[in-house]
Amino acid sequence: MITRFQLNGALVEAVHEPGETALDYLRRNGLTSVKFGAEDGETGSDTILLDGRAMNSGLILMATLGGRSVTTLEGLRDEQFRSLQAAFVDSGAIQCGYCTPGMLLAIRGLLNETPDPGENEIREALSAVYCRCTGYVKPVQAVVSYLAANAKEHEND
Amino acid sequence: MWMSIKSIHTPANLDEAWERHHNGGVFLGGGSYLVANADPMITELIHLTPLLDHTIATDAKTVTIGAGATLGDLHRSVKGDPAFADLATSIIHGCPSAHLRNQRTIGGELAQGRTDSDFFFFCLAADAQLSVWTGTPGTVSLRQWDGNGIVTSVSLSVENLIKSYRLAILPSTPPLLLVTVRQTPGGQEWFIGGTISEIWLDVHEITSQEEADTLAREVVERFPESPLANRETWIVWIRQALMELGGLE
Repeated sequence: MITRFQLNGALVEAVHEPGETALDYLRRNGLTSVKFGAEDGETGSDTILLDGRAMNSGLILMATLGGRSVTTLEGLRDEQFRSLQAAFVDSGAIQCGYCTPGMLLAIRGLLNETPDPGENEIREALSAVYCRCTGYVKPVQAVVSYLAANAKEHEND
Repeated sequence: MWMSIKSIHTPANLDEAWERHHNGGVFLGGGSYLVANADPMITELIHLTPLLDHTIATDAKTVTIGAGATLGDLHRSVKGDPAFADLATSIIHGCPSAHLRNQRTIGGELAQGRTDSDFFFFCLAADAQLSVWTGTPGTVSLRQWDGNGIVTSVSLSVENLIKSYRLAILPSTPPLLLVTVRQTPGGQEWFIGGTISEIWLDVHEITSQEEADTLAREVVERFPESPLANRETWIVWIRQALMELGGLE
């Protein structure tokens, strides 16, 4: 079957099986930042933004995406994303890296709704993504430092 | 990949959805439960969400929710409002993942009827009223609903304070035990459930430790055996909950 939707800003006509998940389709088409972690959404490694909100692509059937907008890590190239990515690197928030795309998208989804989140909101957003290396301390620090730098930049504007 | 799925229909209206359901199609809401289970016996899905109202309306004591709204939508609408604090907590406890909350629809969550869903439990305790499509529109209390039909909206009143007790290994893990009590003109309404596969309801005033103990023993007799704890442990847990919620401690 064919489903038309926006993928990273471009209109796509996806040819897929009726039971294919967004995770399977995206990886089949080279978007490998989206990763398999579990079949029940427990890990968040399969995070995408659907209409700007973080969700588990492994639990979304392609056929339900008609007319909607999907963003993967590959589609984020703006300044906000680069700064957040740099904050993760600078803070040492990345170890094995398997969960990092999911974390970055979870935070992007949070910032879409709450431009200036508190630490509890950051922790809550990151809790949807399992990380067994960092213990979440460094990723939280990364987001906090990104927000602080961002606020300082706006002060100077 | 859900290999057994041969077709997914997005019906034009509720009539068409209902007809397809009678021809063997299974309703698909947010999909987080169904896709995770990938039941090989299911071959046809009916994509309901585009048909359903997504709006949420609140006033001082009630909230009316379109069945297509997600748990995340509802949480964003009510968080920070003291009148709905317990409802907001039940959403977070019942679905700790923000990602899943963004996907799970209210209609789907109620249709699942999970005894370990804090949100479902809260809706039972609040005597949620459902609008349900069964070829024609109708309304029914969630407590009386037999699971037949398409939930199109739900109305919740928090006018009567609902107190709840939750026993779990961690706040983010499913509850071993869920107990709610609501004071009504007819008496205290108690709901008891959790990882056990049944929900027990009774109207009962609890005024002493002995009454709490007797009731806990009655409740345990009605529950199936649980691998998580022996009967004496369940009695202790339930008695503790009854006494706390009943104001006996």
